[in-house]
Amino acid sequence: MRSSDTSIKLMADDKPMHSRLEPPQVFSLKGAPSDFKIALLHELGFGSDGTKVLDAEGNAVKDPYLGVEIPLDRMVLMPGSTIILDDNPASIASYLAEHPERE
Amino acid sequence: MGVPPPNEPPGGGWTLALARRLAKWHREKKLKLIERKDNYQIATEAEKSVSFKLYKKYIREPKVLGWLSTGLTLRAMEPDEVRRADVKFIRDNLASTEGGGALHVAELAQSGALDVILALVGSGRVHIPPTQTIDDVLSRIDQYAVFIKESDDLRRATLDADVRALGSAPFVFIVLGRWTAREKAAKVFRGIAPAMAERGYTLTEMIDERQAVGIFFRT
Repeated sequence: MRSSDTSIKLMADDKPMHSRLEPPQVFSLKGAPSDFKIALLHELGFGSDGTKVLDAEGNAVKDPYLGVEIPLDRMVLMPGSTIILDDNPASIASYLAEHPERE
Repeated sequence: MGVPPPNEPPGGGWTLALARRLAKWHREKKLKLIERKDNYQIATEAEKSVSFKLYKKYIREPKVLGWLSTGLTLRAMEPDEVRRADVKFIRDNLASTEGGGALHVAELAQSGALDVILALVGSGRVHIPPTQTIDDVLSRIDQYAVFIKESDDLRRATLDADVRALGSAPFVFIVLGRWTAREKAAKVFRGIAPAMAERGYTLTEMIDERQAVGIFFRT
């Protein structure tokens, strides 16, 4: 794996991230506590039982490409808030291939 | 101050305010929220690769392009011992998608066979008849390819490959076996090679420690 990471824009930490006006293109949730991820899912109309991602009706959300349920610590949210993927290269690559306009 | 280390929220920590701001940006389609950066990077590199750009010249179906891009991520991960479990996870789940067709299409990209086919088509050395297209090859993969398993009976697999190649008269026909099915796949495509030659096909072999691929072109 290359150490340089030009495709992922990190923000400067000169002020709190949530006070910034411009978002990064990509933000990693790795290391975020479960409570934070659950709050984020609630903001987007989803839920969680504490271990996996649920939809508004309480059903487990499945990765559209591999058909697997999505653990809370493996969720990837692509633009268009209804699309949640399992965190693996194949699902992300499939999404990017199908939605080139969002790159 | 410099760039913060990855996976640490700059400034204010993992607060509800941050969650709301991320959600807002996400709803506005300005932000992708990922987990592991290396997973995202493998995916973006697949999409930006020379192979994928070649695929996009011939293939229009987004779902098929997704499977091909998946194949390229498998190609990138396969040599990495640390990624073995990830490769197995993806392959196992892909195998139950579209009756295994998704995995077979991905394997054409993973193996490099599709790159060879498209390069020869692009060079004009192989002609695609009007009734067959690359999209057709990938959407009806089982008419254009056989995927050999270790458990396959050699005689039956060879007969099946011969019948399929004869039945649909494809401009290209592929025999592919990976890892433990590698030697058997080579026996299958070499077994049907004389009959295929009589029908006007030329065999191109791709053999390495991971796979054996025989590609028959009608020239």
